[in-house]
Amino acid sequence: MAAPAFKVLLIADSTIEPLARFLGQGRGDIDVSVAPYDQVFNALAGDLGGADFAVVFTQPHKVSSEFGRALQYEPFDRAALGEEFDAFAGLVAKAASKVATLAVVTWAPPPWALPASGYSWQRPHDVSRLLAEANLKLAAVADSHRNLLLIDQAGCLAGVTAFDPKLWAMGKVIYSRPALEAFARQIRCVIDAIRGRSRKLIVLDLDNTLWGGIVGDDGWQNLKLGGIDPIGESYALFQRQLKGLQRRGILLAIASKNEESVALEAIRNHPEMVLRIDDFVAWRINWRDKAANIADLVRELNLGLESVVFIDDNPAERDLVRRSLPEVLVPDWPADPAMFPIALYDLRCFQTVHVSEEDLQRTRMYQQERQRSEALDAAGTRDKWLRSLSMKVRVRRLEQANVARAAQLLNKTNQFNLSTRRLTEAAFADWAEQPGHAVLTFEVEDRFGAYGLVGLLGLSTIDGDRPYLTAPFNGDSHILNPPQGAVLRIVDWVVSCRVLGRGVEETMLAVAARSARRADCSRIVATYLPTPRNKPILAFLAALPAVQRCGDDFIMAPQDCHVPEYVSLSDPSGQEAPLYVDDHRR
Amino acid sequence: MSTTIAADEALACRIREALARALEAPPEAIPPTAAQGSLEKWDSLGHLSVVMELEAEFGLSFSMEEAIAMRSVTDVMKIVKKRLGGS
Repeated sequence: MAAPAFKVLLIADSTIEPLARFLGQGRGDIDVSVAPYDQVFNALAGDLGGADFAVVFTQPHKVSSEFGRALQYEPFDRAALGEEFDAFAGLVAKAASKVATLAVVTWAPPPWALPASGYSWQRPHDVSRLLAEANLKLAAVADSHRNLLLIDQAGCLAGVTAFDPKLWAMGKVIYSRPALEAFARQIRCVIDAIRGRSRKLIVLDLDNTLWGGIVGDDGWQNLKLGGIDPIGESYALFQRQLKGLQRRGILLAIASKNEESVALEAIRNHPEMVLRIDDFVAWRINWRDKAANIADLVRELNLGLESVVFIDDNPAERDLVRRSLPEVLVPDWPADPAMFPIALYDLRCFQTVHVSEEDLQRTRMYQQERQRSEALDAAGTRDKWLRSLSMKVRVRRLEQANVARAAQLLNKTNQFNLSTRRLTEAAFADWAEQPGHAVLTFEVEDRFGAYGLVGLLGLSTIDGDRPYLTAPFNGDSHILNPPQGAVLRIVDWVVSCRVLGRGVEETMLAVAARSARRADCSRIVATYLPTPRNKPILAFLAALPAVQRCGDDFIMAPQDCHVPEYVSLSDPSGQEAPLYVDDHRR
Repeated sequence: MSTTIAADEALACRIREALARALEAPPEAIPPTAAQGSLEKWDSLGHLSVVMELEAEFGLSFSMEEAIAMRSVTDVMKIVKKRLGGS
């Protein structure tokens, strides 16, 4: 089943049509339309055409006529200028409630009046400062509207000749082709982030990728890394950049042809290494085929190949991985290490919509995971291992404090995801509030550490609720046969792959069963909506001991669903009732 | 003489392909006689994309005068040949 195209609406007070072409190029999954020229206020006040994502480009002198006067060194009214920008920020805030995600491009001076001199930050005609203040107003709105993003114009266009006077004169296009392409790249990567398609893991080669030289031949003392050497400095800068990504939640791993002990010694001992052992979630340092090593790493980390980037200076290795694992992004890599940081930046595939607490802790969580697998090896049998974990599962209703993380989990999880519903925070919270609906969140912890919020159930006692509007549905009559009792429908069932296979899934089902009993439902129905990536949940459902399968519907009786004995389930609110679905029929 | 004709044809082909990309049309929809007005998508808005795409294809930056004068495949041929020929 082809997913519906992702609808993008461009709204601008200049000619923006050429951007639509660059955005849509080679992307059949994106459908771009353009609001009428120079009708920004009308477009924002309107219904935004049912777009999934709207992007707004405005010029500051068109938003504020007083700013236009300042730009021309005319006398201007500072207070009125502030009010004009405030009014626009207010309009943006209202528009944000009408679309799943809204992006506003920050203001920059018009390219024919680029203020570069000191006076542009000083009164009376302090246009640089006025623009900075105007952008802060947008940032303040974005603080309180989580589906509003700002696209940094100056950052996006850095290093680009942004203006083509001829295009402006001929057709009021204020951006050059390179500028439009830069915006297109940035917007596509925001779209990928919204749709949960950003990359999550970078697998790195070592020799001549993380450092200059061959550690096995040269010895770690002679590697080019840091120091006063320009080549060494380039590698150090590249490592610092990777470290920044790692802190933000991107995982790092190693695939290198080396003696493991020699390579690890270099990572531990070289004084200029920025990345240390603790910064990597896993490694394969051996003489085997790198594609096999990467596939193996990805299996160990429970990730999909489509979340991986592989960086190697050796074109032959890149070619092998590209051919063997086409889902892995294998960028062409420059020969010159000075270009590495730019090459990494240019990938633009690590975008997230927001940086969450989970992102900041991610590497540590995966390291705890490694300790767990080591414990599994030590414990011998799987059963003994599960008992040794001391699994604790905490269930809560969706609430203000966890809605951001819950929405992130809903939108990023692909593998253990029943219906792959993608909803904004606001829409998800709103769904949970409806009578007969409940969203339960699951936090998990074991003796190695906390995983955080890693599970979600969206439950409904409304017979008509389907996980997805477009989902085909049949067999209604025999499942929802009234004499056999009401049905509790599992609409969303999402578990982070980090906790799969240790009782969390079964515990969640048992919690759903409690909700079902409380709402007098005699059956639980989960409708599997297949995507190319959600086989793991199907495998789980199909293997349940007391499940009745009818097409993609999995039907269970509440009395058959139990919390595994090695899991302790708790409800921090201390009161059970609020966790369960309201029975709207009463 | 025949080499010049072959070179001209190759150039015309590149131009038509660039036009097709700019106007988001299949290459066969751009005949050698294509001109502004004869193709629905080659309007003033489409022309901006045409200019951008030709600049990218040939690594050139056209003057506004040149950009305005490109009203047909034949016009584009003349201008591009002049610029590439360096004369």
